[in-house]
Amino acid sequence: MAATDNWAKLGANGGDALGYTVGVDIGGTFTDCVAIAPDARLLQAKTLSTHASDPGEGVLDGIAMLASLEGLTVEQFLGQSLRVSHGATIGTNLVVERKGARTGLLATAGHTEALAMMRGGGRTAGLPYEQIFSVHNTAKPEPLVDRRCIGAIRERIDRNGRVVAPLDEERARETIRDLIEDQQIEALAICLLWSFRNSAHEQRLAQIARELSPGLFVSLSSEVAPQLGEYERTVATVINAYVGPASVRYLRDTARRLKARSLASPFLVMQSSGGVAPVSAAERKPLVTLDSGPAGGLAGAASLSRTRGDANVIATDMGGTSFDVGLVVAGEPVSAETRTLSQYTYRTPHLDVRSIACGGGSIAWIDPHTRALRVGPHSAGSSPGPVAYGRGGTQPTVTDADVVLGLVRADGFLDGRMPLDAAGAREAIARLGSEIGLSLEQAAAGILQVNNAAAANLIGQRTIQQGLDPRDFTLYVFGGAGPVHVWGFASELGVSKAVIPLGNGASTLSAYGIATCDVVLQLDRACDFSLPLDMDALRDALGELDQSAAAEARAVGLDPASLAVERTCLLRYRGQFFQSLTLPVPDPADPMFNAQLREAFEREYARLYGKGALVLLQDVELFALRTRLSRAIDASVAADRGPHPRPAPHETRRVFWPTHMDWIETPVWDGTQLHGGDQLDGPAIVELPHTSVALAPGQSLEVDLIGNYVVHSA
Amino acid sequence: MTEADPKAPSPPVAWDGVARSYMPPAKLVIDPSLKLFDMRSGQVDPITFEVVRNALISANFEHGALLEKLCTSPVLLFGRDFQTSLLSANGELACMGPNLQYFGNSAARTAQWTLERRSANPGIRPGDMFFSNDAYVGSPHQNDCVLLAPVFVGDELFAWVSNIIHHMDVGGAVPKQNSGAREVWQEAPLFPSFRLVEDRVPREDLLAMFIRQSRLPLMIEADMRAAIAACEATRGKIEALIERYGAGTVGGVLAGALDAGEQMFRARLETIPDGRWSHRVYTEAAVPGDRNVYCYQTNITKRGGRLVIDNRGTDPQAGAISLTFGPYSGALFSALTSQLAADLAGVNGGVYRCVEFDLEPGLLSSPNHPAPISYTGAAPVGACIYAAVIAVGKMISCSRDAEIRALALGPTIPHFYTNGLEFDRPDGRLELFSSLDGMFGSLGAMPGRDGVAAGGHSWIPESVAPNIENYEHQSPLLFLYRRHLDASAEGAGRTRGGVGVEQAFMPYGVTHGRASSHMNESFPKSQGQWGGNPGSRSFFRIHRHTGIAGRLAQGDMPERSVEIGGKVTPLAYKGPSELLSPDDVIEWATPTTAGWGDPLSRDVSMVADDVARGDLLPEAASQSFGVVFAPDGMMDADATASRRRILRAERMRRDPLRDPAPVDVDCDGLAVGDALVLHEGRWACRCGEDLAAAQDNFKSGAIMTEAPIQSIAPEFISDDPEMADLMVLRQWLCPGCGVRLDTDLVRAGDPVLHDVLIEQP
Repeated sequence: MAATDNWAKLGANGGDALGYTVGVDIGGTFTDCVAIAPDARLLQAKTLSTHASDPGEGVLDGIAMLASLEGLTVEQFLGQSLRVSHGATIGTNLVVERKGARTGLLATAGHTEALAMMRGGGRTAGLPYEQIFSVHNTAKPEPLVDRRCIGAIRERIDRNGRVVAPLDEERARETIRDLIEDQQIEALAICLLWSFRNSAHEQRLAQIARELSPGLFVSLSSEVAPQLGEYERTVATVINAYVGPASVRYLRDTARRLKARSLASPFLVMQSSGGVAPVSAAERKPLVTLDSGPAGGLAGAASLSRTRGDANVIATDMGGTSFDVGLVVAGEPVSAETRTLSQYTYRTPHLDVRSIACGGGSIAWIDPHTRALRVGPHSAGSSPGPVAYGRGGTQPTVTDADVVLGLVRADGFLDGRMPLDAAGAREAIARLGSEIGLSLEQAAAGILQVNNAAAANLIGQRTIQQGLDPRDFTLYVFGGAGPVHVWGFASELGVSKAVIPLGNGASTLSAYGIATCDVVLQLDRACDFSLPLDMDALRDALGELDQSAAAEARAVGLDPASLAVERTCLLRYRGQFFQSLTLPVPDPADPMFNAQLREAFEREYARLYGKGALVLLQDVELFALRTRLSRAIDASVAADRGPHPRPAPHETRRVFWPTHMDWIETPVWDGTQLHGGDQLDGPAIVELPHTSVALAPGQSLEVDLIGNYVVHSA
Repeated sequence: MTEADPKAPSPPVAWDGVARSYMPPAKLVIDPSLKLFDMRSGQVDPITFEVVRNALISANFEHGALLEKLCTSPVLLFGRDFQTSLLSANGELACMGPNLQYFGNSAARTAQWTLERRSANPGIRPGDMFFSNDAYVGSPHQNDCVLLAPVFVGDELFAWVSNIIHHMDVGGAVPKQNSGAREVWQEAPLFPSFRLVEDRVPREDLLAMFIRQSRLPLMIEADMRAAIAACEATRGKIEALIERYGAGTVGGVLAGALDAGEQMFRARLETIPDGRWSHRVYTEAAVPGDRNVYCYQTNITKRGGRLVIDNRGTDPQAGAISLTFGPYSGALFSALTSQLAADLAGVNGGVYRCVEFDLEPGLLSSPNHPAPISYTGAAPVGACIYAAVIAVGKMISCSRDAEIRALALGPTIPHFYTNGLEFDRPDGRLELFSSLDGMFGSLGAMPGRDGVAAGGHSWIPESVAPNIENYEHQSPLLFLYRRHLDASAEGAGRTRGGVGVEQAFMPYGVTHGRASSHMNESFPKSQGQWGGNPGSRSFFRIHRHTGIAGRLAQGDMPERSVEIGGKVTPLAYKGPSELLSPDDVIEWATPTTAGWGDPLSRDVSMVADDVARGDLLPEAASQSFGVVFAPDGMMDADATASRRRILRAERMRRDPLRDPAPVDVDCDGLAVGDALVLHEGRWACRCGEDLAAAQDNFKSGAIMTEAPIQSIAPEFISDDPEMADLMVLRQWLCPGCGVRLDTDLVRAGDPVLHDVLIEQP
């Protein structure tokens, strides 16, 4: 197998080979590239994304910038790379913009409208709280599949996987032929009732489709999302098909280009479930690449937290339009199963990163009824953007408040490439404040307080839902707009320690996470067991899962024996549907297996919801087994600790601190001059090429040995 | 003994929660030992206000999310049959979640009754929780259990955290609810508010007493414990907020948010002239076997910024189709807030302050004890929401502000349609199946857009129906198909009602079962607004002797009603229970909602789009919308204009004098609905035809036709013509242009309603 040599280069612990570990994250506005050099230095490059023409161009631009930082040609740089890992939003964009493949859908006869019916709930699924109440402002989303492209298949399987009605192959062949020839479908999704219990009919339909059109992208629900619930399974299968052809094209094309520019090592793709996978795995299931950017950020935070020894981390990413929150508990990022994209809900394990609309571009306004100051959910986005961008925005935003208060310097944004209109920002905020009798400073400080509190609310929800106290966490603050507000988040949550991961690297943390996370293959198998388990049935199920996982690994060129194996199971009380606890599978050889599992379930359930919520006589069901094969990559960064002059602020600036409601003369530091071990006290502004860190009076900052800024609050 | 003097004034009606529903007095009578926190004691700046408001709403929202995670009842999980709320100390609704909206008044009424009746003995203390499922106190029916956790600041009651969840079975003569009850004693027991939790610990004796009543004790226990855990967790969050910001500030935010809602609502009412708006809706069969039709009427009188709701015109209480004040007022409030105050996002108490109720006792919507009320959730509440939504819609249509007029939501689904099956499990336990596919709902036609097919309900913002696989996982059933209903004359209008959902399923893997409850309508219950067609009927049919198992094994898979085969057993609207065999197939539908405006006024290109998308057959386009397609499939404009004139002439029984005026053009005077104009003291049609004096019923100047409903389209032909013929469809047509101004679907012989009465145009 051609790829085997390349994989061997990674080694079990990777560190024996010397070279660059590269990560690329294509975001909505910027494509971020990072590389960890053989001597553990972190290299970064930010280029504008090129979605409109060819996103691959932005990737190569970024890699060229990294290469030039090292004085290398692209060929030299890629030739010395151990691996290039890639996270892309192209799948998400295809869905949001409805630009995916013309997709056909095969469903059990009588059930072809499940996708359009959306369980009656698609009208409000995933919408913000305020909008849900407003019937006038809700509608079902544009369909993903043209109804003429949905074919009814005569077949029926029951809940036990038994065939009730045989597959009518002859008619199925006609139906598929119609879709291919008359409807010109470019991808085919197949989702039959109960196929996750018996996939024979789906497999047979896929065979027929491939006979009729060998190159057709075919997506099977029994492979993409083998879980109970035909609507969510159909959505997952359809989205997989919908983004399939373009994703495959893009990944192959980019892989080919990189290879042509001398990349000999593996090209890997970030998965929303955490971990990277070989391109061949992503090609089979492009669904896993959706939202892999935010997943990369959380994976990056998790990786740094393990190095730093921060067991529990709240990872926050504040950009222009949104504020994302993920958690790391005991060194592991927290995952979730249910996901809603463009009002379509599906189930797939993914790192649980949740968003609210409170980014730098969130618009401040006065509620006409309560006369209170509100921020968001509307955003000025990047166009027209905040008033200070001078691109026609007239409504004051969070970023405008930052400018008014002096937290962001008017002439130094984005490396000084983009001067800001401070006068415009002041005028807009003064106008807003005058409506409710607030001074310019009061209004600007108020905007940040309201925004910080909304962010803290989301964080509180996330941690408390996990049965945890936010004060037991270290706050990681990244994204372009995050470090400016670290003073506010920290005090709002009562956390004493916040980390700006990698300092200036905070604005490219997703790319860092993508570069450094493990190679992971994950497989699920649905089952229908009750505790105590029938151990023979469990062993059979685990055996089947192991076999499938090994086959999957071999199919993408990995030796199963070289991978770490982790098995978990999904449990809930019988009858619960939205609830699931994911727990490690105890050793099946242990005679106490059942007692251990029940005890672990009850311990975790009681921790999350209280002892009073335990229902002692209710059945506990095990509804899915999951196996995760992984191989760790050892790539770590270190801050430059060489001898250097003691840094000093290069100027002072008047900053209005909402913490003190006063103007304070504040030293301004150049972050690029800070090194591992340096310390400084607030008030201070630390300016970096892509962001700036604002330290309130009473806070202090030290640079750790990896280059993280650690902010302590008294 | 002396006889009562008939001339003596009758004693005041006791709305005490015992003999009649509880309606709180203007000032609550609370034992002086319980002190209430004064919400208006603190000043709050506009920034802290927003921070705390957001935190309160978010705590309440998370309360719902926690219930959803922990509870096991499918009705609750999929039916959103629960609600969470935060109440001020005196029981005003400070926030409510996006779940069942008609639950909005139940927690508040129960809290107020608890304050009046329990503050002395046993007393209301920190760490307590009170429980009530007494519908005469406030809960919608016995299954909907109210849990109330008082939040204290020192020794002063500050607020209440509350949840209401629907339990699948809480006892009584028949499982779930008793559609045949004649008295409340044939239903599950009512427990007026009692203290279930002391010092934050549940009283196991009392919990066991309640659980003991149920046929499903395991599920009830799981859900009761989940409800207590979620309520306690939320109380903790409110306590933490008070700890951080101070009681004065949090109280100030509650007070300020309620005041703001009140001011906003009053300002919107000010755009509407004073007047009175009414709507009637009918249901059938007060108990199984009964072949009568019953009317619920809701009237809204508006004076300035205040509304008075009354129920005069409603039939006297009968059988099992009454509902108490909690759900009735909740239905009214959900109609008001979903249309006029959706932007409050559940901070609705300020709206409630602007509304008073003046109910005549002893009617279906104001019954005296011991009227049975367990069946409330199926027909009575849906009917009252529907009547209220249309009555409020009529009122909104009279606003001088076009933005307010656009807020009308149009006809809702008039009942909550469901059916119940029972199976005997091998272990002797009973297996209950409740269809939750009523959750698919459909949104009615709105003034500016079509309804939404299977789009849920305006009063259940996050309604979700189960997957087929959820049903088959939990119950011995196999579903043959589930699909949208076809669009047709049903729900036709200038804007169309969203189509509903039909399905067929069969017992599977069992030897027998019972269809214990169903709703097989003889006539549609929803009429259109401002001239739209009625919606469709919900039906429930059992096809016997289908040979289905063998046919499936041969690959013969029915995908539509006509393909099911077998012999259809005639069924009444409700019960009695029917035995089921594995050879039977049940066919069922939750209906299409009614239309808005005259279907002949629908934009021709929209009809062409409907046909092109496959939503509407060309024959239906021609018959109901008067749009004609040439053999090549292209719309024929001349033939359409002429067809529409012919259809208008047919319903007027003479040629119209002129063509109707377009709907979307400005006109002098106040535009009301689609075709009416109120100008210089007169009602007129937009075409210029004078109708009546402003203070009179515009209908007095219209042409009225009265005929059985099936006269307008064959889709409306009933399985039970005898029952259907108890109803008539009245069409009110403009004598000038023949446009349909309004329709009334009424019991034959019922008087014409003066349903839009403007006092000072």
